[in-house]
Amino acid sequence: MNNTCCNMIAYLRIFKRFLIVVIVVSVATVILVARVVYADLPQPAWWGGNVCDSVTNPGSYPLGGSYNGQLACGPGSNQGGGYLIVHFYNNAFGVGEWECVELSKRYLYLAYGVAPYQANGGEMVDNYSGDDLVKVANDGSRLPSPGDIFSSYDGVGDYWGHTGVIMSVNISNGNGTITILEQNHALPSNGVRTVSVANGILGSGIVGWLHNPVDSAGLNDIFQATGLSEYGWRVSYNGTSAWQSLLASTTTKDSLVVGDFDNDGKDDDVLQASGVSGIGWRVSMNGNTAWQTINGSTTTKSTLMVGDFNQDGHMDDVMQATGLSAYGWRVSIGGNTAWQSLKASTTTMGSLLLGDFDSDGYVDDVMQASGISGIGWRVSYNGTSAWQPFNTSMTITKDSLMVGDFDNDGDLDDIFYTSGVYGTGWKVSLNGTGAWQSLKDSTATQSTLLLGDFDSDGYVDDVFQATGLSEYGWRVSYNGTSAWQPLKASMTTLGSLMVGDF
Amino acid sequence: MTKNISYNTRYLYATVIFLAVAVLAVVTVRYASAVSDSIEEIYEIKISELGLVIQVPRDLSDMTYKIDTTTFPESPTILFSSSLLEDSDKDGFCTSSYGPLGLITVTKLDPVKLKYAPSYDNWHSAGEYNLIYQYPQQGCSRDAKVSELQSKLINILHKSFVTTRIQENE
Repeated sequence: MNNTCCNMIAYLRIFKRFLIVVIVVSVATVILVARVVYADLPQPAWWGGNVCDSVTNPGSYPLGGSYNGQLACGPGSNQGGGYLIVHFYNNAFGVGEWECVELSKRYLYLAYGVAPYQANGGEMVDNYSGDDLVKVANDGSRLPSPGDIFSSYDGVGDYWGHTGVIMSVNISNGNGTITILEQNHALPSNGVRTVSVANGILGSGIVGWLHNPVDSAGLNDIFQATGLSEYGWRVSYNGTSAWQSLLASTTTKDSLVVGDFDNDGKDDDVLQASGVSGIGWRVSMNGNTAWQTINGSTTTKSTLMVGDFNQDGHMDDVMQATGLSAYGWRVSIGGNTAWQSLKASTTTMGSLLLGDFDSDGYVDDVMQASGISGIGWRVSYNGTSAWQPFNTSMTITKDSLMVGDFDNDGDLDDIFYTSGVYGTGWKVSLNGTGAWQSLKDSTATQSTLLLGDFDSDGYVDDVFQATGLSEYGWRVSYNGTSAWQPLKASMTTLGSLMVGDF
Repeated sequence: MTKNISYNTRYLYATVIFLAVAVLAVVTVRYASAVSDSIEEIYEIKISELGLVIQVPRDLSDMTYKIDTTTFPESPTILFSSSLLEDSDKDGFCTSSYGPLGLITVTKLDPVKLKYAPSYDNWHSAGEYNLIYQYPQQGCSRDAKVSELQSKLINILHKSFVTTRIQENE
């Protein structure tokens, strides 16, 4: 009896220890997954874990503002601060804390891997010499996006110029505001300032900005999910390189969508909506890592689209249009959170397109191509507003439409149309509200076409075609207007292909 | 016995005197050194083109400058470096053209009204002009030792800035 009792106590102790281990491992796993999925840019390694490098540079403090995990720090040298030159890594160009350029150089390095280079605030854009970012002049032809780096001159007395990071864009029909993150500007400052925009021109002496094509879905790599074990998943970079293996997977395109689920600024994560209980939604980060389950949902791809409904600059929010009045439209932020209601609507994916129709820099507006005369195209801003009339004269339905950026204003809001008929060919309605403008006179229809950014100008306005015919192979029409240009000799059709930024 | 005492006494006196002289010598050397440190050598750098003079310590006596009037014609800007700093960098970004020690803008405008307003310890008046000091915006080198030198010289120039005055007629 005594032995039994002691054995029981011993077993209970072992079970208790086992339980503690299970809880600790579970919590650690949840934290790890959360960090992977929601990771902002890391804190600078050269800060040694101290906020705003306050140990190495005593008296430093965060100004209050931040973007994508990066803090604006102070006091700047114009605000009574001292001067410390730091190196982001050995042999990096020196950067002065907390000059305005320090923030831009820090952001460029952490977000885009751009090594610090010689430039004062006004020179930040002009002196960039890399290939990944594009320089955009503030001439009204294009609008910025969150994460872009601007240069400006404040006028009289501003010898060095100024620079910072664009945090948000709130522009409609060329007018509105942007908010910027900055250091060492006029006091008092929390590091965040609003700048007005009129007729597409940004104020406050902004002369231009560096734009990351990836962040506006500048997509140019062709991803293939063959379903065949000998090929697995693979990618052709820029649609021109030989196939490069990504992952040994037999999952086909039918259940996959591409997005930015690790928030690294690249649309290169592959989400599977398996529809299978116990598997749910899972993601292969960068398309080359083992599956990570992020959601137990059994919803399949057929009712899903990926957008940016929480406006964090990443295409990682999964919207569902169920067609059921009990659910309406709903969204899972980051793809790993519980459904949140967007709008009471029974409209299904069959007639919907996602875009940035309010030009706020986020792909979160839902357009319906109803095909009904008198209703035509209409839009629900942010997926939450009541339907707004958009282009009531249009009766063309989603089947022959795609969303791109043919006016190069940085917004995915131009509607591309393929008639399939010579003489009418391809057309575009700029901003989705303009009258049709002719592009290329081609009979190629949507079944062989993808929109992407194959000339790497930062805008989704190039038409990729995978014909399946050896005499054509893969080819592209730049801006939707140029003659076909060969990309790659391939007979692979669109059936297994998606465009992404791998 | 008397002889022995006398000899020992003399020996003792000699030892005491020797020690006293030694202590005095050490104290004197240290004092002299302290006095020498406190009386810093001051050099005057004349910026004749603009009729200005700035007093700097020995570490910045090789200060170089370049005057820029293209950016802000009515308010010239002086960009500073030093020969040592220029020679320490092999990439050429530490010359006075880049202003690695900062710059002084010479203007009749009110600094407070300038949109890009510097803090008050960064400007003062000299005659009818307002002089505005601005730190450089960056390091001028990839080399940490050069950056260390740059930081040191920036702080020296910033402290010296208040001595900038109109050059008197000679």
